[in-house]
Amino acid sequence: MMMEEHQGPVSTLDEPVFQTILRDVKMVGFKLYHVILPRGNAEKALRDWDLWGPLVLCLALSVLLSTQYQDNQRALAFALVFVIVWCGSAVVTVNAQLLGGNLSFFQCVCVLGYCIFPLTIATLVIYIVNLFLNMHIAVKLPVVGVCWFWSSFASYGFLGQSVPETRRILAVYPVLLFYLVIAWLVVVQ
Amino acid sequence: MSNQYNNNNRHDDGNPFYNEPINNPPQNNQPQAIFTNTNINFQDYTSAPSSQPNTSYQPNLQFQEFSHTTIDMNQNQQHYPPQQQQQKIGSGPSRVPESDFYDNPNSNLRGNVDSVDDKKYSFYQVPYYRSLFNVDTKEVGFRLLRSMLPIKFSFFNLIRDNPDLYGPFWVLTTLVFVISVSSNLNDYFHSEHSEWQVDINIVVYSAIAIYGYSFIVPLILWGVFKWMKLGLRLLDMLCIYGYTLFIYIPASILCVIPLTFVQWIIVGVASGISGVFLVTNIFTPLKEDFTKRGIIICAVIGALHLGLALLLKLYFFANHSESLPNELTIPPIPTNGTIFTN
Repeated sequence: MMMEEHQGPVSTLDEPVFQTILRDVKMVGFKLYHVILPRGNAEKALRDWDLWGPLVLCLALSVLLSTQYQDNQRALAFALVFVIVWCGSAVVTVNAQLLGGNLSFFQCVCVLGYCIFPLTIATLVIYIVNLFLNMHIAVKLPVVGVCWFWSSFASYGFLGQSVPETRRILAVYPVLLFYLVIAWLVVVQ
Repeated sequence: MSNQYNNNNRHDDGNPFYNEPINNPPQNNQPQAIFTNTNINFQDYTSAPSSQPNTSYQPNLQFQEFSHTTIDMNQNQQHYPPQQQQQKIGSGPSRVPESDFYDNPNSNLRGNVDSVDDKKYSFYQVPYYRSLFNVDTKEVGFRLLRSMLPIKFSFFNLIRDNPDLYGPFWVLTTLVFVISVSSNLNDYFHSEHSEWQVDINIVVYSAIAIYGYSFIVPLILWGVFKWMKLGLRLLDMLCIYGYTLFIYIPASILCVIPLTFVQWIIVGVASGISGVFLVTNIFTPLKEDFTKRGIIICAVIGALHLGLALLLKLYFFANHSESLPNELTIPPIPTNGTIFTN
């Protein structure tokens, strides 16, 4: 939907639904590509925010993680992951705004949501490996640790620049904590 | 705010008779004949040569004094509150604001970046609460360090100008996370490793315990202090309670050492330091109250703090099976880098 404005006055009314959906999927993929390979122009790519990508990533993470728990804890695990991802990113964003950061709310939530992608990959890898053999925690820990660093690094550039220099650590620490909580949930699955 | 403003005005007018008690009108002490003799009205006063330094002429001096009291007449009501405030318990030499929140949330911005926009914000807008997060990295670090050193009892003076909620909120959030992680790890070391499963309920329980303790207790204390007419704001109480719990973060990380007596020592030391910090700092404004109320309040605060420590040890770090495991070293746990871990 956001891309339409940049593509000029092309009428999208008479195109097949398939193309419309494909365009949105391409847009989500384009942003995920920028998260995986954080470059200088990531901000530009994430300027048009959408919440489809974060929703898909969050749902994938919640479903994969909740299947690993016992039956009586499964619903709680799903709810907890879902709430932590959404409320956590909202709280982190509001925190950066309160510290004097000049950023838009949904844009920041979008960035934080997309930057969960490395941790979702880690969850998927651990899930698949666990189907065949039991993965020891000493193997999981470095994998998730690298993905945690990746997530934090990808979102650092966006959040760090928007707050004043003397408060950068204060704005970045909640981001690290946010991804650390998710990383812990991934490790102990 | 307005009191200080009036004080400045009073100092600035430079009248040598400023120190005369204003509530005690000097007309009553003076012989009535002076006023009948001079027989003035206000227009006479304004045209009178008041700058004439004729001190030998007694009626003229009385005349000046009288005129000054008439000018200050409308300020009498405004001068009264600070004198009343000085009789209050706990209002020290420095001024204590009466309101619980600032009248103008942007009033205490100290030349920072966001002092550019001096707009009024409504309470549902995010920038309205910016004054609660108006801290720098150094300031937060200093306050965190101070909360672990219970040697000076003036934490309220430190945060009086600028109480923040950044520190308390993130200290509590970190503590909830750290407690759930290390509680689960503690469970792991005291159970069969192959059958162990993470208990995700711990996250919810620790959140309820920590957030509940550090929000409900300050709320009640604030109500009690309001009743005692101490000039402490709700923000001060929330701030000190949040920072007090900071020492539990390294303590909870160290509590993954799966030895019961080591855990007891760690929790004991942490709760001792933070309890002393909390009680002494809260007792400081209560010191001038020579009744038993202050001691009772401090005892209740200390008991509640001890209760939190016992909850931490007996519920979150409970060792159900007392079999000592083999490994005695600290296992690699995901600690966050900014936390002081000894």
